[in-house]
Amino acid sequence: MTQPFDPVASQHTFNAIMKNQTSINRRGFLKTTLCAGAALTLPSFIPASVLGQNAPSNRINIGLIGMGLMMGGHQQAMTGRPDTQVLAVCDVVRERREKAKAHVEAVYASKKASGAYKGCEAYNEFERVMEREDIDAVMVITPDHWHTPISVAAMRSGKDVYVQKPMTLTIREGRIMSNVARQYGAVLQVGSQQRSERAFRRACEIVRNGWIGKVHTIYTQLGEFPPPATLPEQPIPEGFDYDRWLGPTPYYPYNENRVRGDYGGGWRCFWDYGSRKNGDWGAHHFDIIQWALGMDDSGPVEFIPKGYPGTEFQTHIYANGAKVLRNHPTRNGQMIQFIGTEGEVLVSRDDRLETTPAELKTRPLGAGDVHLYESRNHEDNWIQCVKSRQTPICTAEIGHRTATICHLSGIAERLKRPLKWDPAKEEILHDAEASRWMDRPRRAPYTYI
Amino acid sequence: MKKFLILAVICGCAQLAFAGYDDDIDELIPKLASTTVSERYDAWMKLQEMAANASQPGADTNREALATALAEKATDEGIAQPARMWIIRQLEYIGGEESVNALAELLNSSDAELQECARRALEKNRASRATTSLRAALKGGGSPSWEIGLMNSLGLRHDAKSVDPIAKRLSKPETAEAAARALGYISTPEAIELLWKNLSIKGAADSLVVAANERVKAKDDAAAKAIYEKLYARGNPATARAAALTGLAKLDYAGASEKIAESLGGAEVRLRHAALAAITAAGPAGSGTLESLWPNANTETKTRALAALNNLPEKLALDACGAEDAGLRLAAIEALGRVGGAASVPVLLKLGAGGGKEKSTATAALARLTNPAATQKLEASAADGEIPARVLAISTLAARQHPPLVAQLLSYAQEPNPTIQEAAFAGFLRVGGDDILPAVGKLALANPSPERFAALEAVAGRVKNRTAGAQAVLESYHQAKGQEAAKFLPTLSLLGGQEGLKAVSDLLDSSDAALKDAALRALANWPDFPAATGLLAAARDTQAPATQYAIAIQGIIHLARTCESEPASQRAGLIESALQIARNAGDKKSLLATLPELPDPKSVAVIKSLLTDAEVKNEAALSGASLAEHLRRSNLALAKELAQALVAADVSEDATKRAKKILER
Repeated sequence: MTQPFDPVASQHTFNAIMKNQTSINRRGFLKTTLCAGAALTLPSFIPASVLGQNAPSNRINIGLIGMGLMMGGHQQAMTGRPDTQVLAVCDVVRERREKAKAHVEAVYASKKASGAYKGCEAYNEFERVMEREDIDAVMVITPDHWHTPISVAAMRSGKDVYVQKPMTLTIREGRIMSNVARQYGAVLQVGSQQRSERAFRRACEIVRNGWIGKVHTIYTQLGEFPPPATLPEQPIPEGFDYDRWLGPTPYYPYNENRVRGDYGGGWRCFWDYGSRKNGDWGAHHFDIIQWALGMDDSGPVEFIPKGYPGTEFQTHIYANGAKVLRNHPTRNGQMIQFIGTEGEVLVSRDDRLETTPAELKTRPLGAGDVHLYESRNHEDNWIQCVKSRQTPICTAEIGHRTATICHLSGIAERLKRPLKWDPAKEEILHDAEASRWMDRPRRAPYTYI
Repeated sequence: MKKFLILAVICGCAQLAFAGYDDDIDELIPKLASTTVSERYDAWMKLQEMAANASQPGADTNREALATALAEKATDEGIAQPARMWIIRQLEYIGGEESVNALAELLNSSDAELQECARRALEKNRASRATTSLRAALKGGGSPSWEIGLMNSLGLRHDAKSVDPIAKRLSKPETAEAAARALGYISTPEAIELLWKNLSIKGAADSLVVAANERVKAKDDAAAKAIYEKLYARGNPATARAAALTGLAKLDYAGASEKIAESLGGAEVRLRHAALAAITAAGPAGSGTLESLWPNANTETKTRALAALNNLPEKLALDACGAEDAGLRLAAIEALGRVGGAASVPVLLKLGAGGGKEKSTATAALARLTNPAATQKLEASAADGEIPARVLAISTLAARQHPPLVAQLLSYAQEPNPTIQEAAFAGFLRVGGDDILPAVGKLALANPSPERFAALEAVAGRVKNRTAGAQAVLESYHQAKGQEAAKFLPTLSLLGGQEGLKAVSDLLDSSDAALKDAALRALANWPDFPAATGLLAAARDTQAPATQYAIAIQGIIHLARTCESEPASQRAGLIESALQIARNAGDKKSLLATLPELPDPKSVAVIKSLLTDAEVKNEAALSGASLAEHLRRSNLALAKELAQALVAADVSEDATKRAKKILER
């Protein structure tokens, strides 16, 4: 049974920890005690009332990487919190990073009596952020193909990570990410934020507790992207490090539609940078289905592409026979519909939850029932765990298992044939050529992770 | 003879397949490099599909035939570069032994892009000769970027023979880190030795972690352990030390426990994190480590362990609840919420019921305790003990809507102690339904306090059999007198039913103004459509105070919106009647706003009739647009009829725009 997460209680504990530290800054404290050989003695007692709950020593210093479409909300959250301080922004587009730096500094300046603040650096190369020992944690909000190289570098440099979904570009990357997070003791949160929404958690608890009987079918709505396209070459805009944007992916001439951040297309349409809709919305809804079925450390055993004889909808199947059908219509247009032998659960964003029977929606959880991890805010859960070192709600292993479904669905779609998958060994079965797709060779010099 | 024939047939098929692919490829090649982007895309997809088909399991002859044909074209300098690039990409997916010569030749291409594509294709090629060609290319040297790519490919292919050429790149700043990483993947004794010798190179320590992990994969635990042990030594980078500690703990937790204890109590933050992660991953063994190091651990170590670990033994957290240090005490109390069992319940109840700083943390911890033994202990504590602890136990169980509590609450509600009674009625706000409604009704009748009627309403709100529930409440209601009877009306309005409606309607004629007002309010919340008659009558009564009129209009809107079992036409008819007696424009607008939820010709007719009403035509048009959008899915003809009327009336820019959108469909 997973324990619920209580951010209030966690904050108490963090304050307790911080109360037991000296008032110098966090990294400085560590260095001082190490140098003095004072490891086993207690730092002097500084009451929380002296430091203040959000004193500088309590703050988590943040680096923001990838200042595009998705970063807006994260940036606002990180600059708005009293317990985080954004020290660096990083983007391959000069104008974007300079604008972000100016915005971060303006926010902090507005909170100063002097009305002035300088203290946020702007970088083109993420490696410069990794070199900053004063940065505790990074948010990696780039296109998918940069998630793993940057996150792994961050964890190896001792930083905690919030990485957008899907966590990876390939299955092998996911295994590496999960192993590195575990081995380096990093707190990594994957941005599948539906786990921190009440309705999704409740839906998963209803399924996990068997209240709709044995789940045999699940419908989910991912939508469709337009097909990827070949594009004519355009001049690379001034101030855009296009080579670095492409990074480990194959070279193609520049075209603005290739690199554009766009919910309806842009780079998300291209196989080179992700798994299209399977990676985009699949990373959200497949993730919830995994949670509901209790499959966070496992996954389906078969993937059948849409259009394969006898398969009207893209499908993946779990070992117990439960089938997930992509884009099969759902009742009332809900995002996910779980159908069991004794009832149904339908769930969407904006707290939309329907159940059959209706009383399941409000049925209380008993002491012996499965209580899932409760997080009310995905970013806050990450920050609290960075402080307490508890496990966040969406770990690297969870992100890897979900992304694996996204990638295998995409591989089956591209090869136009079903794939059998062994989730324990993490191997594609009886298809040597399909197995090559479990990783992609990387373009030099962005090769190693 | 038979064997020869079979062989001849197989060869013939292969030739045919080859010839077939050759023709198809020849046809595609000009299009693969077409300047017309759509033509190029189609050709790319066709070739990709050919490769996918040829790579089907069990059809290796096809794969080989296509790869052979593609390899020939890949090296043909007469073919345009974009076409060759896409051809090599397909070899990356399906190429085998038959492609190696061509791809190796391309490693020497003067076109850097083709060269790089060939390297990537060889990296994925299963033939051992692919390694040989990559190694030869590295020996030949090139730009730093090229060498980085080659070293990475050779590293991933675990090529022990590449150690020497890779070692030469350790001394160049541009290639040193990539060389170190490749050596990490190769992880032979020579490669590992080189990494130790070059530990100052950026990334070398992490590459040693990679090497150790590779040794674990190869089941060479001794070599892995030796690397981890050496890496853990002081002076090495903290992150690599942390990784080494985790590696050691995974290989041999007991053997690493001393280092884990040392790291947990140490000042290096990353080592502490790694130690906590190792203890968590070890499960019960991790709990044992904590128990052994606990007596000598300092306050900070204890606080951190209490904050992070879910496999912490309960008794350690319980001991820490009595610590002198306030921070440690809070961490311990919070930890009990995660790891606590029955023994934690009395401690948390005492702290939660007290007035100290620990009160809120203890209450939160109690709410999080889901251990079955702890729940049993809570049940027992609710039934017996000090009053404050009993109250907290009752409210904790009620907050989690603990079903067995319901029967107990009835008993607590009848205890002499008023504090326990109050806790019990507060509990009914969270739990209880059909079974206890009659009893709670009687308890409310016996002592008609606001808390008891609030509890009665909450329980009534959860009943499934409303008819039986209404009868039970009516029994108490009929025994009540005067203003006390009025207190039952909100509950009756939750349950509905004919008998209840009659009781409430009778009161509408009461000479007692307060009773009459309470009855009208109950009617305005009534869940069944027959209440409409009384509400319309009340709204029509021009002698009645304005407040009663307003309550009646709100009740009509409530009925129209919520009585979903009633046909939409009936509900729209009710709104139409109310519109006719509405006394001001504000009420008319409120009534109009309900019509989009009632998709029916009657609603359409009402809206159309008001499109010329100077007072409300704008609201009528906006409601009409929303109704038309709603109707579009179920009755397109009616939706268009309404949209047409909205466009013709053109009283609201927004409504007209939305109506036109519907007409355009």
